Amino acid sequence: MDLNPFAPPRTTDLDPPSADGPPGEVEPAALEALAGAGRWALWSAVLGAVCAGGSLLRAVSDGRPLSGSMLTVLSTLSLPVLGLVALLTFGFARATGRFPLDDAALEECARRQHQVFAAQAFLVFLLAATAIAGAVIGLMTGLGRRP
Amino acid sequence: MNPDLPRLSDQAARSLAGARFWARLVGLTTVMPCALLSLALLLMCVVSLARHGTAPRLTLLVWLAVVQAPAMLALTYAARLGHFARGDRTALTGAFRALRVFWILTTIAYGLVAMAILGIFPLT
Repeated sequence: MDLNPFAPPRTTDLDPPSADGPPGEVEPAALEALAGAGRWALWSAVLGAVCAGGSLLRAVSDGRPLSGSMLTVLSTLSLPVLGLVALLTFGFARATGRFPLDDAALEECARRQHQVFAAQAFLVFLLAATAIAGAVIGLMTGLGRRP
Repeated sequence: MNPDLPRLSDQAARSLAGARFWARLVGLTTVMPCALLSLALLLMCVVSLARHGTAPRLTLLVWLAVVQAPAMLALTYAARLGHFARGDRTALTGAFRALRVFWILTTIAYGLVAMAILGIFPLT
């Protein structure tokens, strides 16, 4: 055990996971949990698509996409990304639904997980940018109105 | 060795390592601001109760919890995938269990957002 807190990281910590060989059998419990995750991901994809569609309809009915403020652009941009997340989530759910799960199907599931989380990170970034832009605009308009 | 059980290929392990990175990023960028906002809101509630005897509306706190819960599960998923990458083979089951709870909580969050869009649940 390494007791020195100032010791540099070992090179084995920096290696990609494939280097020390996790490829092995996947336990039945893990496959069961993955299948359960896929079932819930399907519902999540459906509700995500409903959210994206509903938000788009509300934005169009309010006429918001017609104005060109930064906040509007960001919030409008997050809608197709939400749709993309829903689409990728649906792909993940479909990949986990294949039974029995063989090596290729498991590889597909892992690839889909990677894509879903990358798209979610992009969505979180857009939503955070929208929130920050909204706060800055609100602050500036509030300061402008102050006598 | 059981020939019926699927094996995790190198490519799948690399994809899981990528998923781990993005899941951790999603978790951290969501949990930290939500935790700070929740703390600020709770302090506002305490101050408001002490001065006026009335609490502000707590809908925002509910929304923060709804957003924060799946993000924390994303962090758990990333942490367990990290244990798996370091050689703990049983951690993969834990990671996929965390992933299942993550999708359950995400479904609940999307459901509440859909209800808010339809006007059934208050947004603010």
